[in-house]
Parts: sequence; structure tokens; C-alpha cells
Amino acid sequence: MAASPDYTTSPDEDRALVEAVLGNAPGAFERLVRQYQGLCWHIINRMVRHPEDARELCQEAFLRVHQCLHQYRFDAALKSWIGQVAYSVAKRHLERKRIPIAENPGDDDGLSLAESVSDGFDLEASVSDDEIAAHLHAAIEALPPLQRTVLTLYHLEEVPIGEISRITGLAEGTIKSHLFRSRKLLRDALEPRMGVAA
Amino acid sequence: MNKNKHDPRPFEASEEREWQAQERALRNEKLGSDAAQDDALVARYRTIARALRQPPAGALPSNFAYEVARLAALQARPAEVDARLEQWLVRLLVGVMALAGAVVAALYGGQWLQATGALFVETGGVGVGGWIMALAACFAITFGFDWLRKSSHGNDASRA
Repeated sequence: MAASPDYTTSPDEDRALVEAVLGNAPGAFERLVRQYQGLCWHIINRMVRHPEDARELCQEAFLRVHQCLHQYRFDAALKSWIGQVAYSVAKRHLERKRIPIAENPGDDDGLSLAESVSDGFDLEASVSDDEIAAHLHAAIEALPPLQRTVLTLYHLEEVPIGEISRITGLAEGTIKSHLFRSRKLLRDALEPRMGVAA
Repeated sequence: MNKNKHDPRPFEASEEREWQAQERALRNEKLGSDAAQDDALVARYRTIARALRQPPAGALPSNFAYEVARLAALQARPAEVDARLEQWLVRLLVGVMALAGAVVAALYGGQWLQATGALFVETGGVGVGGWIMALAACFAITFGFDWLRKSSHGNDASRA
């Protein structure tokens, strides 16, 4: 079982860290970056899928955090606020490159998404655990950027739906629908290898 | 689950059951509970949950935090210098204005006092009481018009 990264901080710890950064305390901003760089990396890397771009965008996101930290009003967890900055930096990058970030969760057929997730799957191959995992990772990579990011935030970062909603600016129902549909697509991609579930 | 008009349609009963299986798989995987206890659907989703809990390939360089903090400090320095310079210029401007005001008052203050005194002497017929009456008349006109406007609106509203 993969360990989930631990960014859980109390509001008091958030406040102390933010005040230290705003007061130019030595090493405070470096501490903030160290604490949240994993979260930023997961969001941005999942969105853009290009390690070089993702590194530059992570840097841009933290510089923006440094520039705008005085605007943080402690009305949400610092983690959500930083996640929001990282998400908006990655989203703007994809928009500039004219890469669509999501398929509409309200679409009932979801055919095109299912096709892209199944692309490149060798249905006749053997079914060892490693191969299943490799194919699942390929299927996750084939999801649109938003769906990949929502799944990563929910499963790997263990961010609750309400916080993901705050980070992405989407309604909680939309996040829930993305989670449901993406996991169902991954299951559908898995079925030919494992047999149909009862 | 829908909180606004942009939310997608609510889950149907079969979808809700599948959602519950997805959530149970996530919980069981987190807790590391015995996989043999999972039903077939939960077992499928547990495989997916395991894959999703693997961090994506690649990572930031080990000195990333240090480098970003250094860059941020470099970027912040010119802004700090600008802010300090601006503050200093504002203080200088306020000081110059105060000094200029003092000089003008010292040069012409005597003349202003004399002129003001003469004005009081010229309007001596009216007196202080006259000025107070004029002020009271201004207030009366202002509040009178306001009262008339409000009462006419009130009558319109009661008629409607």
C-alpha cells in the first residue's frame, strides 16, 4: 500500500508559517515550499504530463504563492490555497497550448473517453499483476488532465471532495461525477484482463 | 449532491451502488484490510485504488525548495526597494508642503487676520444671531424638502 503524503497541518500551524513568510523570517519560505512541493508536483505533473514543463510551472506556482501570500485570508486550509494556485497555473498552461482539460461529466455516453482510455490495450495479453498495474497506469495517463488530477488528489493526496472543489473551482457534484466516471472507465478497461465482475 | 445548476445529473440507484463499491475499495485499500473479504466489484475497484495511490513517475530536484526560495528573495528585493523609496518620497513631499504652509502663514497670516476682523466689523449689523438664523433657514429648507418628498412617496405607496 502506497503511503499518502502528509501535508496535514492545523490552522495555527498554517498561520504561523504564513506569518513567518510574510515577516521574511529566514528559511520560512523554503520550509513552505518543501512542505507543499509534493502537492504542487502531483497537481501540475498530472495536468501537463511533461516533466520539464511541470518543473518550470511548479516554480512559477511557488513564486506566485510568494507574491500573493498577503492575499491569503485563512478562510481555507493553506494546502487548498496553494493547490488552487498550482491548478490555475497548470490550467492556464494547457489553455495556452489549446489542450482541453476535461470531458464533460454530464455526457451520458462517454464513448470517446472510453475509447481513448482503452487505446493501446492488448486484450489478448497475459494477466499478471504487474501487467495489470502497467495497463492501469497507461489507462490513467490516457484520461483527460482534469480527471487525472482529480483522481490523484482524491486517492494519492487524500484531499476530500469539498477541498478538490475549492482547488479546481468546480461544484462538488461535478467532482464526484468525474471520480465516478473515471474509476468506472478504468474498471471497464480492466475487465477484459480480469473477467467481468459479478 | 447537486449544489448548483452546473452540477451533473444525480446518480441513479445502480450508479449509487457502484459509487459505494468504489468508496469501499478505497477505504479497504487505505486500511490494508483482507482482500479475500471483498466482493468481486470491490476487488476490481481495489486494484484501481492501489494503482491510483502510486505516485506518478518523476520528481522535483532535491534542491527545488532552496532554489525557489532564493529566486523569490531576488524578485522581492526590487519591490522592497521601490516601496521604501516611495515611502521616503511621500514623507519628503508632506514635509515640504508643511514647511511651505508655515512660511506662507508667517508671511501673510497677519494680513489674513486683519481682513477677517474687518469682515466681522462690516457685517456687524447682521451680527452672530443673523448668521445663526441663516444657517437654521438652510437646514429647514433642506429637511423640509426631504420631508415633503418622503411624505409624497408614502402617499403614492399607500395608494398603489
